[in-house]
Amino acid sequence: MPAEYDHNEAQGLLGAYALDAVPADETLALERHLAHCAECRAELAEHREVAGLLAASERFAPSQVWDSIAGEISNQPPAAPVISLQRRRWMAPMAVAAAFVLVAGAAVVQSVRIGTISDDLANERQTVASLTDQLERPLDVAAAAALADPAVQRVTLGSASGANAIIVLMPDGTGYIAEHTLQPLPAERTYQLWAIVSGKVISAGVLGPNPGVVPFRIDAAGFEGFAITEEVVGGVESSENDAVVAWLAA
Amino acid sequence: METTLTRQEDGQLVHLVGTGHEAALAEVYRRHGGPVFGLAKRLLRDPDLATDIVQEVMLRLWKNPEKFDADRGSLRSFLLSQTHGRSVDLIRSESARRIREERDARLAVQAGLSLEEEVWEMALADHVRDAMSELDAGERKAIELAYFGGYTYREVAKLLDTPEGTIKSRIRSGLQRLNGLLAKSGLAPIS
Ligand SMILES: [Zn+2]
Repeated sequence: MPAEYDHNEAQGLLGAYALDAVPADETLALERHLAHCAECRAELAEHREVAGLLAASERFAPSQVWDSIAGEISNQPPAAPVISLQRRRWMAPMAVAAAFVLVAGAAVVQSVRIGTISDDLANERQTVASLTDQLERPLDVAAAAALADPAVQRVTLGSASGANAIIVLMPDGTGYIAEHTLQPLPAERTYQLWAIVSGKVISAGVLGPNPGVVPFRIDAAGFEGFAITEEVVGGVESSENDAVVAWLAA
Repeated sequence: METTLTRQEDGQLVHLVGTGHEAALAEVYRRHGGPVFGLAKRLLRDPDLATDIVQEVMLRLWKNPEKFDADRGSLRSFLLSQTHGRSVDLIRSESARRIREERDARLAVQAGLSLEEEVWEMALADHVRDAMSELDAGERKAIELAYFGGYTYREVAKLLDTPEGTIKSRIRSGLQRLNGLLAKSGLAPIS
């Protein structure tokens, strides 16, 4: 048995490997090849999807099995309760017309340039305004409650300069910029929030020159990143500026 | 909360699992627990052992949600692949000799060494069944024995009295053909 299979040998085993049918004494040599062969990994992923379809026949999940799982997890909090800047791999989402300049070896985004057309900006502004009106509780109380709620997602937008902003996202798509260390801007400038959703950069709201707790609304399914830029007052439809802070899903 | 969660995509759901959202894990289980438990039970022939495996796989997602990479495949195939791997480990472990012997005894009495009937009775979705039936008998048997029987390709080769290299390539070509056939019914995982 060679220490590592070559591409042809590995390829021949991919179907069997997807079905867990490769004997233990060959697994290591195959996995060594898989570690650096994207082509083989892609084929393997395809085989696994097909295998998944073969098994996917029983529709109903037995509730007593869930009961035993629920009993276990009440003793075991998840290992990673907070999504933090340091833990994420930084990777540019595909098909985003934005140039992401990554600092090699450091988990920070140095600059994010956003150059695509945003959604209807006027609508965004209205959404933010009406959302503010609808909220009965003072915003900072709502945001503080959201920060403490384990049901919400929390992402930290970071930068090379150390500035950051924390966004909390409710499952219903409401979000807040809960905390930030952004410098106040002159009156003719504003911060603007952008979301990357399904590969498109869309404006999620104009935040003003010295943002307090700012609510916004986003289709929570499938967002891939957030960035805040500095713009002229009123905001822009698409930005040419570097991000002040940004976060990208791994 | 429940009604909102049911609309989340799998990747988003796993994200929520990572924030300690137990209801998100419950929704993952509601969506995928049936096939996952069904596969473990089919391989292990023992509902208690199957429950243990499913619990282990779900807890692993709870503790290490970042192991799931939505770019690499669907959540369902990720969970099924973990379930299959753990079940097969158990079958092949020394302590599971009883499971193995029962399996081999069952197989011995089946004419033609085929699991076909069992697979049929699993109520495979019609299109999956149609696609399976279009494979060569050799491809189909090799895939059934490896996947639903939990045999290695070398064991399959012995059972079918066929060279090992032939079994390897039949499994691979069979899966590739299934992918193509299922693509026609709009089910293909990857175009
Ligand atoms: Zn390769």
